[in-house]
Amino acid sequence: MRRLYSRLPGPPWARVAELVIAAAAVLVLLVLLYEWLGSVLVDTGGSIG
Amino acid sequence: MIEEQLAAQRRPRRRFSLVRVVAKTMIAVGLILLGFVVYELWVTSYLARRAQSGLQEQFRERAATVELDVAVYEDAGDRPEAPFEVPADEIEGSPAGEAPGEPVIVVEPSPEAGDVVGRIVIPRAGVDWSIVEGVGRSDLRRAVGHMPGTAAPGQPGNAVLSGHRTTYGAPFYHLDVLEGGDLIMVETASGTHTYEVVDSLIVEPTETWVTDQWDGAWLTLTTCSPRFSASRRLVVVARLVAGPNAAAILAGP
Repeated sequence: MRRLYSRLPGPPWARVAELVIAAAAVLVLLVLLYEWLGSVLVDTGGSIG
Repeated sequence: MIEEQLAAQRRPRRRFSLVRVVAKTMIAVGLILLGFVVYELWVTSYLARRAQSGLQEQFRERAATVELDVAVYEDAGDRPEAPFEVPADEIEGSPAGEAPGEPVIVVEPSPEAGDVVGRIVIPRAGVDWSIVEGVGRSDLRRAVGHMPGTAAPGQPGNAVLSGHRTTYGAPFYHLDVLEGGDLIMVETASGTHTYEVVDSLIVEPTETWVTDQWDGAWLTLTTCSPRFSASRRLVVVARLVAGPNAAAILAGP
């Protein structure tokens, strides 16, 4: 995380903002992945057809 | 000479580096899988429970404002007999069916897609959930879903309701405990319709015959089977035995 922070461009506040945005993007992607995996493998909701 | 020494120094570092990469990858995959379990079991249930409280309020509003209609019950004619054996009828109080003349039933307007339909209560399976119109992902994330195109609960035909088995609050987690004779209550704006379980079976997800419309008034509940797998469907079939329309429908037109 520190290495990533040091590689980011801009002043410290901008780097923090970039990290927050990146974390949010990763979280959204993870939720989408979980939703897809859950609906395909675990529980579709039980509908027929 | 110097090159050999350098090469000797590099080799262990590479090995060490490879071990670190593998270890970090495994930790990352482990954390992602742990997150998946937490999300599926707890986060989705939290989201569904939160949606439920809003839907209960919507149902109270619908029940208070919707305009009910009374119609003569006519045989649809083209509906086949249900492929299940049913015990002798024991029909309980039915205001609509007590009329000595033509059998009449209470009819309510169909809700819009995604809107609340009513509430399902199954004492034996610990179910008390709102029902919404539709069985899309967004519908089943919030509630038990009523399959569009099938009969409305309490109406002639086969009302099909689907629900999650293990995620999003798992409304149908204990559906497998239901046996013949267990009661299922479906409350809609037109009243409480009581169904009696007739059969329980496991089918493939493509076996759409369970959603067919049969003669009489039926309720079909579908959910995933086995638990934590979407490979098959557990289907519970019940028939209407009490409620505003029971006597009229069971007596026939």
